[in-house]
Amino acid sequence: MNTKFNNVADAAAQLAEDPSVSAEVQTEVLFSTMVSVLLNMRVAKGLTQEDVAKCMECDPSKISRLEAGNDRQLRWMDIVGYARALKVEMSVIFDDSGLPAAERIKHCVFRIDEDLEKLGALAKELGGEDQITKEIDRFYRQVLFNFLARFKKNSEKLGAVLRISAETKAGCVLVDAGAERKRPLELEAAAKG
Amino acid sequence: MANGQIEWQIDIAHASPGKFKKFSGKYRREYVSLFANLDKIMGLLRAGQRLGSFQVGFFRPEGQGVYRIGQTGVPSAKESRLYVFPEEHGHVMYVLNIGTKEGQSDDINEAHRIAKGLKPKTGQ
Repeated sequence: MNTKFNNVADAAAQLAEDPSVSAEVQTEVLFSTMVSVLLNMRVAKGLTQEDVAKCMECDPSKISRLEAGNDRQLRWMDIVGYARALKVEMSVIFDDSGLPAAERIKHCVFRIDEDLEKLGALAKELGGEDQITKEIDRFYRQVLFNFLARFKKNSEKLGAVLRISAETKAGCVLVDAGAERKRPLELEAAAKG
Repeated sequence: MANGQIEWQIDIAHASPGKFKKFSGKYRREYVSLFANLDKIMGLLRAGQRLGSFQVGFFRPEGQGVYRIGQTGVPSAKESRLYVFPEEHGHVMYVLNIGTKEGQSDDINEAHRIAKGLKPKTGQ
């Protein structure tokens, strides 16, 4: 009999001598994803349940219950309060699978654009001319290079599927969330930095 | 280590299958919840967290290297505990025992007895 397992679901099923237990545990683990993410972030930040409770203005036992439970029992404001206590920004993305593919692609591009703006703002925050900021600047250039390399690869994949015109591909169109303006990105120049 | 994660295994060789089978038949929701909570702890350990460096309400030391995993998330449930022995050196989580709050004293003693046999092997 196998006694070593890589996942809890199979171990639980083996001990219960009931294979159906595995699926039940897997479902429970899946429905505990958000709780697990919150718990992992708290522990990684070295915060205690008391720290989070203090920030959320509640009893630590509430945090204990929240972490011992699953996502079905989570309330929206608990997630918001917990994230705030960890000083973590939270974004919610609604991806409507009922929308036409072109519309969904546009939404993806908007998100990329927003992230790029965030990246730019972060880089700007650092500013300065000293050695440390120069190193950080170099790091951001590497990030940008890696991003653009992936962008180019995926743009080619998209081009193959959607038959994007050569002119559009060359310019790597980014559509601003506010307006329908086109912003060509000079891939080569940016990569060289 | 894969994808920055430490590989931890679960070992059930020292658990009594009969007891787990009986418990899972009688308290299925609690049984499932206990193992889901074990998965949360495994997630922390796989992320590189060390025992004793984090405080989680449902994961408490019971002495001699034994920890109990609780479940409080199941509405109107029987308070239950899963007893484990995490072996940090070899990255193995030994599952030892399971039971309700009523029988916890005997269950802890049994878990300690099993853990004693594990210590020379694990060097803890």
